[in-house]
Amino acid sequence: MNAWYQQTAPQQDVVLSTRIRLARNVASLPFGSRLSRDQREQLDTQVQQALETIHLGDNTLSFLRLDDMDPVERQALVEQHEISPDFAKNPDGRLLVLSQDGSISIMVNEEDHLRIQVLHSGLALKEAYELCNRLDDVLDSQLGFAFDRKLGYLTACPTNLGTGLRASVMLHLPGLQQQKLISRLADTVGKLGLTIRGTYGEGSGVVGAVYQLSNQITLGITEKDAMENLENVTAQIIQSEEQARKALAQNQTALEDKLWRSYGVLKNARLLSSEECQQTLSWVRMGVAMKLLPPISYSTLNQLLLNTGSASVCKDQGQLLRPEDRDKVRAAYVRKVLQES
Amino acid sequence: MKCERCGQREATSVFTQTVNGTSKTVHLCSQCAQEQMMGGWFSDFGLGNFMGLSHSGYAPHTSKQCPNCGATLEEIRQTGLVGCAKCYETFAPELSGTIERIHGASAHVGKIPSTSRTAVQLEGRISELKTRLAKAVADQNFEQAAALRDQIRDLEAQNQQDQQGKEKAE
Ligand SMILES: [Zn+2]
Ligand SMILES: [Zn+2]
Repeated sequence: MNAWYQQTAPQQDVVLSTRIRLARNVASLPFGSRLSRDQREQLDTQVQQALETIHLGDNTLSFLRLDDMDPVERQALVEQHEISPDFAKNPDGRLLVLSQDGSISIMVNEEDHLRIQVLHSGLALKEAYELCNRLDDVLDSQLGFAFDRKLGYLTACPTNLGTGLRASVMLHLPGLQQQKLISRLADTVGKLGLTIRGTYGEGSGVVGAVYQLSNQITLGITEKDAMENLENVTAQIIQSEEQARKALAQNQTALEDKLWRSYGVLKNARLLSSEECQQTLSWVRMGVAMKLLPPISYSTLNQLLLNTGSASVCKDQGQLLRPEDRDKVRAAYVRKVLQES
Repeated sequence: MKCERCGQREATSVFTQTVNGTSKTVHLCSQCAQEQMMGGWFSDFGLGNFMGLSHSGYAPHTSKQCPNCGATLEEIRQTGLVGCAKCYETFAPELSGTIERIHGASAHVGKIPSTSRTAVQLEGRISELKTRLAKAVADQNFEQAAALRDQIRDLEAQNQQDQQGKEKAE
C-alpha cells in the first residue's frame, strides 16, 4: 500500500500536504492532565473497541501503545507529522491509532482525550475533512463527546472551543522567502483569521522554506467557512509564490547553477546533514516544479522530505546514531531513493 | 544576537507568529528553529497569552473550585487548560471574556453531533439563520445570502434525516 504522501493531489508544486485535526473529549471523564493512569488505559481500550467496526477498505488500523515503542521510533513519528512532540515525549498510558498508509492518526490522551487527524498530500481539504468527520461520527456514537449548545465541542484549551477544527496546509515558499515577502504575508493572513508559521533565515532557508498555514479561530465559524477561507488564501499564496519564482528565474544562470548544485548534492553526497538535506531538497523541489531540473515525482520528493529526519534515518538501528553516522546513513538513503525513482 | 529560546547558541533565523492580527518576531538558533518548526505543525496557540492579557481582570485569590474535577481558576490560568467539561459552566463568568477575545465570537455555529442533536436545536438554528438571511437580502449582501441559504438547506436536510432515523428506530 502506498503511503499517504504518495497520493497524487492538486497543487503539489507549492502545497506539500493538508492536515485536518479535530479535538474531542469524552463527556463523562475529566480532561487530560486529571486522568489517572487507569482511566487513561480504560479510554485507550474504549477507543480501540469503538473503532473495531469501522470499514476503511485495505487501510487497516494499528493500535500502538506509546509505552511499548523505542524513543527513536516515537521521534520518527514526530518527524513524519503523525504525532506531536509532547505526545512522543510523555508516552505514559497513551495510545496511537495509525492507519497502514499513515493518513489517519488518532492520538489518545493528548491534551484532549482524542486528537483525530487526517493527512493528505497536496491541497485536499475536503477529502481530508470528510474522512476525519466520518471517524468523528463513529467515535462519538460509541464514546459520547462533550458538547455544549453554546460553546460547541468542549476542549481542554479554550482556543479550540467550537468546532475543535484545525485545518492546515504545509506550503513550500522558496520564491516568497527569497524575495523576503514572508513577514508581509504573515501580517496579511493574520487579518484574515489565519496564521502562518515557519522558520527562515536571512538569505537561506533553515528548514527548506516550509511554512504552515492554518485557521486560528474555531468558535463562531462553521467548518465549511473555515476551510473555504483557508483554501482561498492558499490559492492566493500559490499565485504569489509562482510570480516570485518567475522573478527568480530572471537571473536564469545563477538560479540553474543553484538548482543543479543542489541536485548534485542529493545524488552524490556521502555525508548529508539534516539541514543541508532539507535545503537542497527545497531547491530541487522548486527546480522540478519549474521544469528546470529532470523530472522527479512529488511522491519521491515527499518521501525524501518526510523520512530524512534524524530519528527517521536511525529507526532501523533502534537507536539514535552519532551525528556523523547519521549523516552517512541519510546520504546513502537519499542516493538510493533517487536511483530507484 | 543570542537565540531567544535557549539563550546559548547564536540566532540564525527569525520566526514569526501571528495571533489575532499581531505578529511577534523571535530570533532563534537553527536547532531551536527546527524544533519549533516540528512542534509548529501541532502546537496550538497557548492560552497563556490570552489569559495573561486579562490577568488584571481577575480577583487575586478566588476560592471557587469546579465541583466536578476540583480545578481552580488559578490552575486554569497557569496551565491554560480547563479540568473538565463542567469547568466551562463553573467558570463561565470568568472565562467568557477570554473566550470572546480569542475567537471574536461567543457562540458555536458549526457541526452538532447527532448524539446531542435534537429537532428543537436544529429548528432554533434554522430560524436564526433565516433571520440573518432576511437581513443579508435587505442589505443586498447577496454573497452572504447565498452562503446562508446553503447552510439552511444543509440543516433542513440534516433535520429530515434525523426524523427518518428516529422513525426507523421506533
Ligand atoms: Zn536556541
Ligand atoms: Zn472541572
